[in-house]
Amino acid sequence: MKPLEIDNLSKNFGGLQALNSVSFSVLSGEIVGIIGPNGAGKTTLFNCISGFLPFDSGAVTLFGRSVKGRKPYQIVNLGLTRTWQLVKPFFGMKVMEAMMIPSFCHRAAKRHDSKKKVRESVLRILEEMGLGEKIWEDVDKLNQGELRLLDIARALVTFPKILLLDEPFSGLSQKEIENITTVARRLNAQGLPVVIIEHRLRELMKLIEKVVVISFGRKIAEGTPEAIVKNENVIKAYLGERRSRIGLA
Amino acid sequence: MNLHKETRLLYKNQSPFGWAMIVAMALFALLSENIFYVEVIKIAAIYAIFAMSWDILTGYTHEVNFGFAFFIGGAGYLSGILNSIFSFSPLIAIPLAALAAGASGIFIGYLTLRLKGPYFSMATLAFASILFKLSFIFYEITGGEEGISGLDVFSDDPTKDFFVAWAVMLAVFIVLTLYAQSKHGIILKAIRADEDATQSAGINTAYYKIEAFAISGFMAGVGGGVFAHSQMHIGPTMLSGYISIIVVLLAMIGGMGSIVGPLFGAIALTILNEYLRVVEEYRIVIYTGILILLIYIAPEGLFNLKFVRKSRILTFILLGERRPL
Repeated sequence: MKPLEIDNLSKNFGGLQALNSVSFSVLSGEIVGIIGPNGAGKTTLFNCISGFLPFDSGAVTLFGRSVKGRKPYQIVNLGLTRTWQLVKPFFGMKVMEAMMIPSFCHRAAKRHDSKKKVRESVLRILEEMGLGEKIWEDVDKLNQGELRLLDIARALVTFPKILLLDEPFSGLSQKEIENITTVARRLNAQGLPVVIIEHRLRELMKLIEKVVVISFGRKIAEGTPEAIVKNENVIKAYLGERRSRIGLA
Repeated sequence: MNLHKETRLLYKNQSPFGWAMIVAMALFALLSENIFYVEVIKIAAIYAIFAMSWDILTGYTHEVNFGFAFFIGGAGYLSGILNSIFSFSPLIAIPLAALAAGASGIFIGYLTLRLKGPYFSMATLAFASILFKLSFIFYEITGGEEGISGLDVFSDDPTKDFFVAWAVMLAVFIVLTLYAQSKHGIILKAIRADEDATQSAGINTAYYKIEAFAISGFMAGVGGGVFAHSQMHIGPTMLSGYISIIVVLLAMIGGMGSIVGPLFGAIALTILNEYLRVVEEYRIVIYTGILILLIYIAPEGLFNLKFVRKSRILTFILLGERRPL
């Protein structure tokens, strides 16, 4: 059973067709990148998959179950968790407190038989993220890179079977990007399928195995990073008609 | 430091100051010979019930409920009607009225679920205004401008009467503190920080908001019922914007989102208001002036002042917070 299958997904905002019959699937253990120019519909795609926006037609199937009509929290409880383009920290809380929130969801509660287990697994996740020492820190005092890691750490508390990361590199330094890359690679190596939207192509291409390119709401290409950077349509979408090299080292 | 112990310390707080205040009120009532003073702290205790129950919704989610009179006055009237027309004892009338207030909390919570900021406040204001008007339209039952008088009291002895209000205040304080420190309170704080992020943590945020609304309404309903019977009277003032705004002010000046802050705000300011009766002509002017001054000095409330938050001793005494490490 495929972790995530998207079939002819369409979404209109009034007259604007934000997504036009987009189809692709994510296989077990895959790490997939979604790229496209600004306004291509990448975040809309994530919002439709994660239940934050209702879609007009098509189907999104998560481990064989349709997500249509389900609320965001129900989709998380089915095993799909996302992060956001802008970090969404719980300001005014300690890191530990913020990490407790996802542990209250049905899916996480079912998998922990005691509060002690919750705290232990929170500590383990934070340590794996390199945030172990920050556990009693105020969320407000973390830097941008740490907030990004905290967002991903919170997502992991819900025991996702598939993880969606929306621009995890934006606003980060080279060093911080490497941190996130390492984390994503390790999670993927543990068998978790990861889908990443990203603009920083140079860093993204090194990480992923498959790329889906979206432009003006349509999927224009799908393939390995090596094939995609040579694809005529992709180059046109990014750079216009004149042929040029896109950001892959 | 131990992981489990430290985590409990994060949110299991008991404010020594809050408990001292509650005990002091009881001792004062036992020792005081002056009926007037006992009457004043009884009113203070009832206002504290209102302010604390307002805080569990607004202090924790920051959606300002400007129509709290709906629950206070609504339950007060319902309890009054049950008592005066159907001759229910206050002990049955108040819980029934409070349940009705809680149920309407679910209803209003559901209707206003998607509203945020000023839109939410206006919607709550509208519900309270509707009830205010209805109390005049159905004057045959509600007594119109006069309200309903001659309700049964709890006891003829003012001290015993005070202790009824005091016991209810204590119960509301304990229940709301436990609620705020449970997973429910932590989730409400998360919704305040970021509702989308809370949803993508797998939490049904709508449910928790409606639940907080219902509990807030129920507790206010208990307070409204106690108020009506201890005054032997319920009038349209308790449904008016005046009472809604007073509750907002008392809780905000005390310090929203801490339960004990609104408790302190309500008690201190109610006593101050009564004390100012020595200069009756200027009372309202001085009282409102002080409220404005306090909002100016401490816009987030006395318990959330910067120097309080920065001092370990003060945060422990006032809020009971024991910061780890």
